[in-house]
Amino acid sequence: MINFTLLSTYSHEFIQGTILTLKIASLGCLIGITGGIMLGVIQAYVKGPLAWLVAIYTTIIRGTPMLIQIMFIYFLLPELGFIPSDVWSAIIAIGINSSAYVSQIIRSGINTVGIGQREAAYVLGLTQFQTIRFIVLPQAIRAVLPALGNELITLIKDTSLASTIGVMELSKRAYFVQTRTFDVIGVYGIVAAIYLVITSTLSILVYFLEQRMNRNVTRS
Amino acid sequence: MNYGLQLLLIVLGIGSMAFWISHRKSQLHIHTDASYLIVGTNAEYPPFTFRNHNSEIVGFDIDIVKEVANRLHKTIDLVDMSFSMLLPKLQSGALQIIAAGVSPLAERESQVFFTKPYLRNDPLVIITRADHAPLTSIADLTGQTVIVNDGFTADLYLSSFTGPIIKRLPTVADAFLNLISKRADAFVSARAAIEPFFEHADRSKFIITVLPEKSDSYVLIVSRKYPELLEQVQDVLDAMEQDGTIATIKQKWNLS
Repeated sequence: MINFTLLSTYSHEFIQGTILTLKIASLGCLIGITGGIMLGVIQAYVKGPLAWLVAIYTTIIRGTPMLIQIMFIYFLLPELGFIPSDVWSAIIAIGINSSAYVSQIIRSGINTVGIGQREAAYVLGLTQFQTIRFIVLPQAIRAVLPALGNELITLIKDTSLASTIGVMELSKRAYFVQTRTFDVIGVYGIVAAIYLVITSTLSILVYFLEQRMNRNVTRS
Repeated sequence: MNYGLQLLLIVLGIGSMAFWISHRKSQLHIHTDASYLIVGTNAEYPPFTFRNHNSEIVGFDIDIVKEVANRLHKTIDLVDMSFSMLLPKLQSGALQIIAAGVSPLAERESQVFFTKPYLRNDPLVIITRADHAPLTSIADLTGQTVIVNDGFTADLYLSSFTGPIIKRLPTVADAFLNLISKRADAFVSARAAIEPFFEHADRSKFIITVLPEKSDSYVLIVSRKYPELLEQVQDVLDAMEQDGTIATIKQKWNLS
């Protein structure tokens, strides 16, 4: 049923697809983490209109399907006179989506850092920015690292939605090879294995990062 | 729980799953009894297969396959699903035939059976917006973003050129949406597939150029699980060609 010779002639498709998937995932993740940390800090520290705005943003993004968001960005941005490439449309949509989820994770992480820490930092003369940057965030991120890892794995799998706007990432390439070979099980078997390798590598990396961040921590 | 009990649970789980799968397989064969012809289609490709205003599946391919079933004295069981699901179902034997405006391709031959084409010489066309600089040949497409529908003849043909920047989208409607919103410079498709779009859209907003060097042909696909069926279907198609039935159906759908 699975024709390996035929599939091997399309190996460059799988390689190109994997590279593009990794590109979308890593840039989307960069936007997601950076944006998420900023939004999370705002939600944890700021009271007032800015915080409300962030709350509305996370509600909308978390409350609508990613597929719709990608379509929206893809067709809306050109109306506003800004035409990013297909790949960048996908990266922006995935980054925006991820930032909303990451912000909630970061906010919950910040809440785990006791008020006493902040008071101590204040007494030592640290500015609020220094307190967040050097005292609160490192501890918050350590606490939420497993949740962040989960979010990144979801993000990698969500990159497959970029195929709906014609981006030739891994799952679109799979469909491309399938339309040429009609070999469904072989093609999707290979692609599933590639996704699994990427996500489990990430899981392992997150695990080691956890170990490293926890090495100086003594549990009471 | 001790190890013994856990192992017992796992063995029971796998065992019952295996039993269920083998049971399902035997059910499949009961379902495909000889008085039925189970046909899969993706009713999103007018005029070959689509849903009319009453949501019934109609089209050129549907008329052909209905007549085939009729002449084989079988009751047709028409199943509509996404294009990507058709093939796995055909390969597993859950579908016997696919009628969805598909073209034959040598690389696909090891997975399925193709009948001989019942419609040939449907030319490829280049469609551009009327406000776009004219694109009338493959050479003109160099450096342009060109939409094709995944896996269709235009996709396979254009993929052999390095010049055009190819953008693959699933349906004709997706292609026109992208073309109109200036997400692409051109759309290349078989002519028969774009005609239905202009029943609702203004033709003067587009420029359509025929590519004389390449044309499309259409076949039925028969599952490799039913080798005897291929011969029967081919005989009926040959007879339909000879007595003019196919020509009549072509006329009905304005195909030539």
